[in-house]
Parts: sequence; C-alpha cells; structure tokens
Amino acid sequence: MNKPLRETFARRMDEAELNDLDTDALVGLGESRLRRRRLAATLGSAGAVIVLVAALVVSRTNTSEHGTGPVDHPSPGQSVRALVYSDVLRLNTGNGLRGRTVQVGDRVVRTGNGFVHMDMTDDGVVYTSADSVWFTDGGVTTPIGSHPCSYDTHLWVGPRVAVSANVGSLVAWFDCSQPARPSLVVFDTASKLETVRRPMPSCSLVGGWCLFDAVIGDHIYFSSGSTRSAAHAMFDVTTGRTSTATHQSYAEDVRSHPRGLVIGDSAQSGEPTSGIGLAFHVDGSRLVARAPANGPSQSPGIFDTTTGHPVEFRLPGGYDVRGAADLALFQWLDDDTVALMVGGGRWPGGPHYGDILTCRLSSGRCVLAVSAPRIPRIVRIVPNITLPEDYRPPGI
Amino acid sequence: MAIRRQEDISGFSELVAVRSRALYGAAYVLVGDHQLAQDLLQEALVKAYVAWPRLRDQSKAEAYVRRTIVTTAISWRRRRSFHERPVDRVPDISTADDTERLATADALWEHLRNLPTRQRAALFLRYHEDLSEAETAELMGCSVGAVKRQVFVALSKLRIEIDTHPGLQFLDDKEVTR
Repeated sequence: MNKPLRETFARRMDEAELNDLDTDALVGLGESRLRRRRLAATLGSAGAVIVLVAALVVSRTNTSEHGTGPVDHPSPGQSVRALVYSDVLRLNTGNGLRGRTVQVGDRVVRTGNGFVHMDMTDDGVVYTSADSVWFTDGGVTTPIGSHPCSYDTHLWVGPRVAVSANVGSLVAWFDCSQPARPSLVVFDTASKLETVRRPMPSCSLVGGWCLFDAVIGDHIYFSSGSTRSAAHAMFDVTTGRTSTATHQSYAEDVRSHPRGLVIGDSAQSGEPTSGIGLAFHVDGSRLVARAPANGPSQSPGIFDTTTGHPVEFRLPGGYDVRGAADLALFQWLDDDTVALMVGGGRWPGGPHYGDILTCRLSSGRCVLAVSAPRIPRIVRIVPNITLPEDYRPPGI
Repeated sequence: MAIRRQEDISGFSELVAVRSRALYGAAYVLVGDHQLAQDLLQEALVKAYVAWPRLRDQSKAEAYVRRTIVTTAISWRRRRSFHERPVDRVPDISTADDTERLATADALWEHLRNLPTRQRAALFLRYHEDLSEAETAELMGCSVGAVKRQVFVALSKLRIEIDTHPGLQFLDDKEVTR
C-alpha cells in the first residue's frame, strides 16, 4: 500500500503549483500579529492593574456606610461584544475580494471559505458565503442557513446580505433556495434555532424593494432604499406580522432601545438612528458627523439615545489622520462604546485606511484599538459594511 | 517600523523564497484544496515569522512550518471550520491502457481526499515523510496508539474503496517498519 501512497503524495505535491506568494505581505501579516500581541499584553497588564484597583475600591466601598450612590459604568447585565474585523490578503486576481479569516476579539477564526458579508450578534459573528450562512462564537463555526439571497443575483436584497441588531441575538436574511419565492429567515444565535421562515414580506409596501434597513429589538425594518423618510415595512418577530411603519414609529422604536444615536440639533428634535454606517469627518481633533441624506442640517450634533447627552468624539492625542477618508461607525461594543474604521466603506481609504478607533459616548474619548495593516495588498473588512467588490488594491 | 530585526526578516524571506513551493505541496496533500492550502501555508508562515527568534536556522524553521501546517490543518478540521470536499467524479473502474499507475494514483488521491484530516495527516507523515510512529504522534499531538489507530482505520477505508476497483492494485503495508 505504501508505494502507491508515497507515489500519490509525491505526485500531488509536485503538481501543486504555488503562485503569487508575496513575502512582503507575509512579513506585514506577521508584524501585524506581533503588534496585536504586544497590544494584548499591554492591555492585559493594564487590565490586571484596573481589576486590582477596582477590587480595592469595592472592598473599601463595602466597608463604608456611604457606598450607596449611583454607579457610573455599564450595568452588569449589559452585553459586551468583541471587536470584529478581517484582514484579507489578495493572492490571486481571480478570487475577488472575499474574506477567509475573522478576528473576533483576540481570536482568529478560520472561515474555511470566502465570505462576502459579516455581521454581529451578542453571541458571535454571522457571515455569509455564496451559498451558506455561518455562525461562529470565536471557537466553533457552524452553518446556520443556506442560499442567502445576495446582491450579485438579487439586486433587491441590497448590499447587506444579513442584518442584526446592535444588541440581542437575532439575525435575518433572505433565503433564495427557491429563487422565485424567496423567504425571510430569522435566526436566534443564542438558542441556535431558526425562529422565523416565511415568504418574503410584501414589498409593495415599500415600492417593490425589500432592502434590509435595520433590526431594532424584535422588529425587522425594510425600506425601498430610496430615502429614510419613505415608508418602511416592519416585520414583528414576536407576532409574525408585517405592517407599514411610519417614520415616527421607526424613530420611537430606535429611541426606546439602547445603542442608538440621534442626529440633529437636539436629542428631542433630531433623527434617531442605529448609528451603523454613520460617517464622521475630521475637524481638527474632533470627529464631526456627516449629515445623512435628507438630514436635518449640514453639521449636525449627535446625541446618545439612552442618556440624551451630546456626544463629541475626539481623536487620540497625537493621532494625525489628515488626508484620510471619513471614519465610519460599524459596531457597538457596549452601550457606551462604538468602533469606527478609518475609510470604512469608502475607497480609496487614504493613508490611515483600516485603523480602528474605539470611542466612548460618555467621555468622547477615542483610542486607536487596532492599527491598519498598511500593506498594499491587504484590505481590512469590518462587520456591517459590505465588501467593496470593485476595490483593487495597488499591485493587482 | 518593523518589530522584527532586518536580519530576521531577511532569513524569513529566504525561507519563503526557497522552501514555500515544497511546503505548499505538503499543505495541499493535507487539505486537498488549492485555496485552503494557500491559506494554510500563509498561516503557517506567519506563525513562523512570529516565532522567528526561536527558529533562525532555516532547517529548524522549515521543520517548524511543516509541523505547523499539520497541526493547523488538524485544528481547522477539529473546529469544523471547513469541510471535506465531496468527490464529484468517481474514478474510472477499469484502465485499459498502460497508465495504470497514474490511474491508481488518481483514484487513490480521490479516496485520500475523502479521509478525515487526522487520518490523512497520519498517512502523510508515516508514508511520505517517513516519520516513525512516535515522531508522528509527537507532531500530531496524540499518543502512539492513536497514530496506529488512525493509520489502521485509514488504510482499511482505502482497502475497501480500492477493492471495489479491480483495476487498482493494493500493495501490502509492511514496508514501513519504523
């Protein structure tokens, strides 16, 4: 047996032709991983100090008769999401720009296949490949659906193949197993169960299109993709009903949930939004929100829906991002922290393209959480922002 | 500014330039898919870069990368983050011409691709790399008994498959003695 086996192995090894292995890019990836390790080690040390200090404070507070005041930090029950991104190395011209690994906090998840979109729930990452929907908690990866309708073949889907809320475990997509009769699928990543599968909601409510707009709590919103002020359709996961949703009811829904922003002149009069995709431009050391299409003003303020307080993000000290494209908000890490990527969703992204900042709503303080790969053939991808299919990194 | 020193980067670049093709071949026979093999090699090389100060010497580095290719392939499979490719073409049963050896290799390859990664890795290390059972066990992170079991089960499966194809020869497995 072993002679044919040896021959078979040898022949396949000889025939396996490797092309286009870029040493500079490999060095870049290695450097990037080394930097992440150093950052993790630094954060770990800092975290240990903070835990120690916190333990001392708690210990003193518990022994004090005056320790009953309000607590100014996230509630214990609040879900906290890991920072998620993917650095994609393009080895071939023919494979398109598709991710193959996902960084989930400090863990690297092999997707094992090219994915085209990723999204987050409280439990992990959902990503879609051409013919499947996958879920990973950072350790185990499992298929949770098949044949998601994609923008490539079904323009009405829009660029977000799957959509989830800023908090919670629900994720929704359209199933095109039967292309003539697509179904809406809602999956709960906590229970690992499909909770809804039904024919696509009537898109006549929204001008014939069924773009995913947002998931707010148990409500999935669709729109025609034209303007935010156009009528929405809303599918209620709890009741299983689809209905029209007015701009006002949508706004009230956003305001009634944590992890939302109000864009405008005041928390009361402004436009509520989930915040995902919101673009910021740099003005000195400040980050100023760009007014959305049909928005209230050219340089609107932003406010936290939970507290109503204004939010004024500031760049980290000494961080010079001049010449970069806008920063895009792509993920809520907790009720008070968001993640922004330099150049997110816009191409070319500029010299800092791919830097990820995390910003606190309460203090406005931003820190550089992950540096850009700064390697010409590596493209950084983040959740909620579609892969730029038309992007061609330099050197391709 | 790079964290690794320039001489380390040069040493790593030399390894990539000189040995990546052979290493890619090993990755390919382990996962049976070109794109996955490329990813696997990339991952192993990046790990080698991170560990470079401990390796330096190119022979050590190559051994490290080979080991990493095997362990990473097994860990990917363990996480079920990729799946074995189904055979979409059954190999021809009879081979009337004189290329029987090639047909044997083709058919064997199709069956090898369908083996679980650990079993394929065990066969690869024992029959191609000529490692002993102890060395194979050490590299795969399991016991010698587990290696024996993996090899036995893999060969049994291959025997069953090959026996259904009268044109294919099945040689004895006593040539590996270590």
